[in-house]
Amino acid sequence: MAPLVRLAGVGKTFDTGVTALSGLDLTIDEGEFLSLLGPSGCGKTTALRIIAGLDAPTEGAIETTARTAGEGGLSFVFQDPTLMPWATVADNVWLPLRLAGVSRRDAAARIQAELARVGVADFAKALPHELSGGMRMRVAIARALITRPRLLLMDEPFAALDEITRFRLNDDLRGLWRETGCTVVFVTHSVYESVYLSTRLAVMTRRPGRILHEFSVDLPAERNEALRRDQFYLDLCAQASAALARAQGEGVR
Amino acid sequence: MRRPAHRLATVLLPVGVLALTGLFWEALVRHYAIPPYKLPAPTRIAQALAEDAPLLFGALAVTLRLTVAGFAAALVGGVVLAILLTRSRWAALAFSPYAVILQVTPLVAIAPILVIYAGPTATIYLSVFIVAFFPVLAGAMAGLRSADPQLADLFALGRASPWRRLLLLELPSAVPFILAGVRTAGGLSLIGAIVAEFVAGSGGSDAGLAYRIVEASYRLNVPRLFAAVALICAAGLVLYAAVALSCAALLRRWQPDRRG
Ligand SMILES: Nc1ncnc2c1ncn2[C@@H]1O[C@H](COP(=O)(O)OP(=O)(O)OP(=O)(O)O)[C@@H](O)[C@H]1O
Ligand SMILES: [Mg+2]
Repeated sequence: MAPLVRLAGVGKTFDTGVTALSGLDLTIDEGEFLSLLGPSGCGKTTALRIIAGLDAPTEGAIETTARTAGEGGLSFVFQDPTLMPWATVADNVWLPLRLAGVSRRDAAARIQAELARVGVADFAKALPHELSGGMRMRVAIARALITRPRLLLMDEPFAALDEITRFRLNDDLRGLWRETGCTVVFVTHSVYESVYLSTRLAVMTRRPGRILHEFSVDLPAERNEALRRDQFYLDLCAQASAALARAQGEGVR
Repeated sequence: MRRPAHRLATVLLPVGVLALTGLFWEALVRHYAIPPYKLPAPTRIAQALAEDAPLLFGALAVTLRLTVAGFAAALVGGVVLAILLTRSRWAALAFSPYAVILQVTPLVAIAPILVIYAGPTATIYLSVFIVAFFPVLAGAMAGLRSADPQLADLFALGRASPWRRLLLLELPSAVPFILAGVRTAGGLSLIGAIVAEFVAGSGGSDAGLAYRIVEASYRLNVPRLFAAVALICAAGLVLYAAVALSCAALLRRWQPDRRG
């Protein structure tokens, strides 16, 4: 089966002269949960934006079949919830369907189902500023899921949250991924988070970023709090940390 | 426990001081027997206001009608022009000299020119429009450009048409900026009307308040002069409060996130 996304020798130099990516090769297969791990400023966000088509590479090529608009296409979750402050939670979640031409009435049941799935069903009529940070992120995830995306791109979605909320959202996200069967590319700073969530890890070098090391995470599909103390899990985390430490030193070529 | 008392004081203190000032004024005028044509007492001003009510309130209605009409036109015009100018960088550039010229030139200097071509009534209307237009335009321009770039990315991912982007993203994002402009414009529009009336106001049935002020001052009808000024002052307060309250009501939806 052809991969969902294939990046070949992708480079990105901004107008400012900053080279964020150089020689990035990455293949993303249908159905996997891939974490992108890398030092701050190594071009992770840039890579996601290129996959989404929000930025064009200045070098190399990208092939993907996931970039259809509307349903079954691609969704993006940013580091901040990025909700429209003037719109209710339900209207925020409606947005991607609205842009795809689905009326509010036709979308109503799906909006409610999506809010229930991420656990904020009671807040459909609330405004974003009335929610906590974790709840806002849940709404952002509901908005991303409502189009039933084939590819879900997430840029450090939980970085600003406290650890307990983050752990809970980690479990919920794993559940959602298994339930929907979509492909996830998840950017994070946290080694523990990436190993806990993923089926595969890709570690990037510091800027200009490229893939330094990839390894698959052979943990059981069923993951829970107990795993966080599991020796094999901790070994994988140590491996990933070592790769990340090497990545900090790489890149100056 | 301190809160309600504090809130009461915020009302009572300024009102009390205002009342005391009035009493002092009244007492001063009576004690020294100052004639009304030099300084009318508050009661004398109130009397003038009552006696000249048809004349003064009629004039106030004329002024307010032009103020509100000019203000409303400026609101619509400012937002519409801002939408047009933010569609293209070249359009904004081409228009920029007019914006600067009209803004740095005092209205009193433009009004006599307007009278020649537009006549007195239209001059007042246009003057209100000119002073109220720029705060709204500037606010709307800044606001339309203030949309969260990540939200804009979401619209791009959804392949939103420019029209939907304007309606669902740019205009809602601009609302707080537009309202800030509207508040400024509200205060300026009555000033604009009064200034224009001083220059262009005409007598007769469509005489505005400023015209009555000039008239009363020529005739040395000092109590009426004071009454007219008090009326303008009250009208300005009401206008300001109306605009501020409706802006605050609209803005409740636009509260930013508490954090992040
Ligand atoms: N639009 C832009 N214009 C110019 N330079 C940019 C732009 N976007 C990113 N950069 C630069 O590219 C580099 C990589 O940025 P990017 O945001 O992709 O890194 P990141 O890995 O996501 O960092 P972080 O972990 O801090 O989120 C940085 O040096 C950044 O300053
Ligand atoms: Mg980033």
